[in-house]
Amino acid sequence: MIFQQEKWADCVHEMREIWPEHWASLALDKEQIALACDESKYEQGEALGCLHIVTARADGKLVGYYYGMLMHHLHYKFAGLMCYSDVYYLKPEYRKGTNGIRFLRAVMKSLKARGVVKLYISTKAHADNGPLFKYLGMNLSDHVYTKLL
Amino acid sequence: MIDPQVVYSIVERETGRYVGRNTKIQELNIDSLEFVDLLLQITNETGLSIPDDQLDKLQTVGDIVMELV
Repeated sequence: MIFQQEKWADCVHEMREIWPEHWASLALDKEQIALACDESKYEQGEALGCLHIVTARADGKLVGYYYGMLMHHLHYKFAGLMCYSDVYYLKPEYRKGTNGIRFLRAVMKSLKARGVVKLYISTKAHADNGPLFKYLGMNLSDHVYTKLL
Repeated sequence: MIDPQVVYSIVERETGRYVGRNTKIQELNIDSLEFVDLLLQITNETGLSIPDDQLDKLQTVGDIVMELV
């Protein structure tokens, strides 16, 4: 499996095919909030240089993706570039062995190469990746609560 | 270096599969979360761990033994 940084325009057509299964497997409140990716916003993010995408490919086929937004923290503008993870997904049949670990390590390595000093990444409460994150040296910093209004 | 058989025994117990030095991690039929659990179990029982910057290199159960420090 190959993990590499890619441009939105180069992989969006393949990511589109995976979004429905990603959404179906992990999204909450599906009846109230439908999947409708605002692709123009990601295009803008890419144009501004703040979108960071790392893909996972097996035999050339897209089997996973990570994307995050790079920006300086609103409260700590001199602290350096930070990455706010948006989504990440690896198709279940490709999660064997160390693939997930290698994927996240590739993400961190690519972010560091772009000068990112801190990564923010969350995990679903019902599909907790916490042990994996901790093994990769991450610290638990927040709990996120949601409510439909 | 730790006795490899100690590590093989833990892997066999946790995965239910007979393993040896050349058994590929991909063949253990576990995902990355389960793999991390396995590594934590090995650490708990041996007092040794694998630095996270060595995780990319692991291909076989023998590699786990080699990278434990």
